[in-house]
Amino acid sequence: MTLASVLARKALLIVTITLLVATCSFWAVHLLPENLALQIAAARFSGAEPSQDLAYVVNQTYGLDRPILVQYADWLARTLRFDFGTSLVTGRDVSHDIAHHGVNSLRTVFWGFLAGVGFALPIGYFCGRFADSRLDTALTVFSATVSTIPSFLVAIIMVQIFVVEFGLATLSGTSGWTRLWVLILTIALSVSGALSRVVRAAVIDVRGQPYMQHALMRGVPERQLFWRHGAKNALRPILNYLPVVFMFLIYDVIVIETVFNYHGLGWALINAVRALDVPLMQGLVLALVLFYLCCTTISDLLTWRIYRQRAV
Amino acid sequence: MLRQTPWTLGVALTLMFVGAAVFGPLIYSVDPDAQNLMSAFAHAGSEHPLGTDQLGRDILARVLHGARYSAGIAVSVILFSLAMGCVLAGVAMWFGGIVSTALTLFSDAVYALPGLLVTILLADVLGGGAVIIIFLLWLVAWPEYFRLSYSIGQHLMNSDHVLASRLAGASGARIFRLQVVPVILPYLLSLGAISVGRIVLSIATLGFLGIGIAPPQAEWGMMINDLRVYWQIAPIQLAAPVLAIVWIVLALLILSQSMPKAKVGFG
Repeated sequence: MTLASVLARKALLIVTITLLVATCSFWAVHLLPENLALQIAAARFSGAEPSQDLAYVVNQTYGLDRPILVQYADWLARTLRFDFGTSLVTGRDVSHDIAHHGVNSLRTVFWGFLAGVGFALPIGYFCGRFADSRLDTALTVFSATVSTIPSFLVAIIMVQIFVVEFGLATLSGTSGWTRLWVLILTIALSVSGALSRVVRAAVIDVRGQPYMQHALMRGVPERQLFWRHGAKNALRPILNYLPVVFMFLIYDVIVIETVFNYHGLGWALINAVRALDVPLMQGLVLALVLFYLCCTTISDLLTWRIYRQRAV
Repeated sequence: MLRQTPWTLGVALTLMFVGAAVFGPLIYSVDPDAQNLMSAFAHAGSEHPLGTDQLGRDILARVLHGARYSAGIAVSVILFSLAMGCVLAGVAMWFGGIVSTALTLFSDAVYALPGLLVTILLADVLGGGAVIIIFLLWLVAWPEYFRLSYSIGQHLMNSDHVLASRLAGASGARIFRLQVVPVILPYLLSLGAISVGRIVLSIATLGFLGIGIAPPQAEWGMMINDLRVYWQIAPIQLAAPVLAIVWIVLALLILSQSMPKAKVGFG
């Protein structure tokens, strides 16, 4: 595969998914039995009883009295331009909110992901190198525990230990490492749980290959052999697994930010859902989906760059 | 014999859980929603085996009904996905050509979608409730089954033994029954077991976030969210739903990893 075809496939996928999400949210909202205008009125002028007059005003403002297919085409066109209109609750521009919360999320996700990979690689390597030893068993139990308990629970436990018991971190403010390090550690733990298992399996698999066994028997030192000939082959299944890691990263962002009350995309999404703020919800979901797709594109490009000689 | 141990353990843990979910609420017939503020945070004892929560509701009853809720949703989602995935894989293999290309592209697009996000986006807009949650989770869960059954099916159809039985005059249905189903089934079940676990975690997460669920419903994630601020006075009450989640997810993980499978030589 050439670089152009890899990128073209990804671009097609991204456009398809954007349209899919936009279509789903449009029809879900517009096929509802209740009058959308009344709902918006209720959300927007909360407190006041939603009345027919308000609904009329809303109808005019949002163009809800046009034929539904016209609205749909308009909606798709605006979605492709990333123009989601204004939030029903705050009245601010949705793209402004996304940018504001996105910076916060990016900071924690980036460091959390790096730290998670930083945990997973050595843990997985040592598990695979000394498979079936006591160390391996202990680390297996650890990673199985982390991946079976839901991440909101991990987050609650982290808050309980580091914030409530030891007072080593705070839960207020948006920046500063005293605020961020527990969050990043929680994301890292969650990432490393499953990833370290994949690393372990990859290391075991490569070490069992005939070419490795042969070189070992001929007396090549084990460590030199692994790093020179094994590492690149072991990396491939790990790179292939990254999209799954990114997917769980997105879920973790939502849950962990909510538990830590950290004002990122996930926190904003949950609040928008609670307020039924449809434009903001749609914008945030699309932002998260696109972020996920960008991550998988980067990992695909990396795979392509490393293994292009052998690609068929 | 030793290799069988994890499989037996997984089956035993899962069966115990299924038994608890199916028969638990029948045997222990306490109303999970009955509030009694006079006995809020009652300790574990003869009256309430696992104590009561902040509204005086019986924890054991709520955990058992929560099991029914989570398991019911997860199993329905998997059954629907299994049906949809297999039918579509069959369609793709039968027609081939442009139909199979289109189906593969479409399932890839859906597969590349972070599923929980779609559920979060649409659950409350559509009104919430178990049926909506099942529908939304199903909407994004089926591509995995399509991809698995399509790739194994494709491989089997091109294999020598299927060709041999076709030459020997076996009908399509016979080949399907004797040579396709026995190979594919363990793979699908293994995937099903692990995704039931994953969906149970998703449901707990949704409950924890309060999405698509209305409060009197007994649900583990929601119980954890309600009780987490009282963890010092109600540790057992908080531990019960946590252990229930860990139990079933771990059981299904063991089950799926140790399921005996026939090897399909993926070329």
